[in-house]
Amino acid sequence: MDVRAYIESGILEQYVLGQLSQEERLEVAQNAALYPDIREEINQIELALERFAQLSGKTPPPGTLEGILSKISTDKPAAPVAILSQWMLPALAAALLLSLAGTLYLFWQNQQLSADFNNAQTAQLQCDSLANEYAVLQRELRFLKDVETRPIVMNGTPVAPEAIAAVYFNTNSQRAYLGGLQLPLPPAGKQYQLWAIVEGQPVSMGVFDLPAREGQFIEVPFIANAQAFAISLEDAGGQPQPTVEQIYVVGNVG
Amino acid sequence: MNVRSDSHPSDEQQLVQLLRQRDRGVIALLYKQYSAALYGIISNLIRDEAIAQETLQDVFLKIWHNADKYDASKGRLFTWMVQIARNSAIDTLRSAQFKHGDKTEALPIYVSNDSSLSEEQTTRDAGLRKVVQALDAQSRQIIELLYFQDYTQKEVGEALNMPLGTVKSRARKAISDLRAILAKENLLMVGIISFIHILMQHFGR
Repeated sequence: MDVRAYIESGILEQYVLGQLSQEERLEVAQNAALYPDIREEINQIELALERFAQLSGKTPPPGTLEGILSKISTDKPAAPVAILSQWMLPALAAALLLSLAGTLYLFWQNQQLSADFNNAQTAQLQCDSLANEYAVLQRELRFLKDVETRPIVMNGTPVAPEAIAAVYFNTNSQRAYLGGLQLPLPPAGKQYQLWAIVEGQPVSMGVFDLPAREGQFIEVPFIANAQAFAISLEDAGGQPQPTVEQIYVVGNVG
Repeated sequence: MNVRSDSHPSDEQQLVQLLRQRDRGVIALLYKQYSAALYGIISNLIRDEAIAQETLQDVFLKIWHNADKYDASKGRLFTWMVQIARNSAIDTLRSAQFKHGDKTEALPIYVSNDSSLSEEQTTRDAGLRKVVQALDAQSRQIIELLYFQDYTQKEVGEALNMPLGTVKSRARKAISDLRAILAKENLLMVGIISFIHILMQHFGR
């Protein structure tokens, strides 16, 4: 195709001026797509006429633009979406989804961590209490293994023939423990009280509750020169003198 | 002898993109860039200022609503807008004539004379006067009839008493002359006007 001759035929001017039939227009458009020179020639013709129109322009009366904008803003609200470019909406949705996922993940992780922390704290507490218990048992064991430690077994009286208890005392270390307790549960408002008999007189060694764990030792005050030990059931808080009929166990220092 | 585009060559592409994205802000931009040119074309056909203004508003609404119909491969955005402006103005004119029962009055043939140019525009006038002075009267008339007033070449031939073949060759010559003049003026006058346009765009009207 002779592009030069095609350009000079004037068909492109007629194309821009809208003077061609439907088929002719299509043909020019096809040629323009094929030949860059034709495309550029059309562009130049358009630009010249555009320039001429700009020069012959006339400023519209004031308020024209406002009228246009008010008419556009009252029609269907296509704009909110339109303001975002085509890729921005999916990108925004993706970002939102991502941040939601992130939040959920962090929330989940936080839950996990606080659960882990709670578990660790519980374990720590258990550990502490076990260590404590271990230390107590160690001390008791050391006390019991000491050759100076002497057990005084207290046997049940007619009030409670099945009852039994023991006082372990060590004159060397001046310490005493109550253990091996096999006593019935005291009724409400009552407590057991431990007595030492010194020179024929009962001396209170304090009230105690039955230990939660069987075989647990209770450290008691050390009383020197005790001839015997006894446990009586008294009103809660203890009494200055034991109630003789309520003595459950008694044992002499051999 | 390329005629440089109005200001930035990318402007039109950006405007088209914004228009396609249904960004309402583009209307103000289009208005700034093209309203005077389009209004000039409309008021060539419609002398009544209120009706011409209403028609211009219609044109912009059509541009907004029919943006998806614009095909950049077929031509420039402005060429498409001119088509809308011309058609709207002629439709308005026809319906007005029909309403008034005034069927005898043909479309007003635009007769070229200097008084019709003496509008209030100052910056544009200086450039236009130069171009018009350099362009012969008949070339200008042919361009205005074909481009601004949507005459067919046959109608131009009838109005100017010219065979169709002559109209066609005169049309090409007119546009070639226009291009040559604009290319010559381009660096000087259009450059200054573009500069003023840019200034106006940046600092408001």
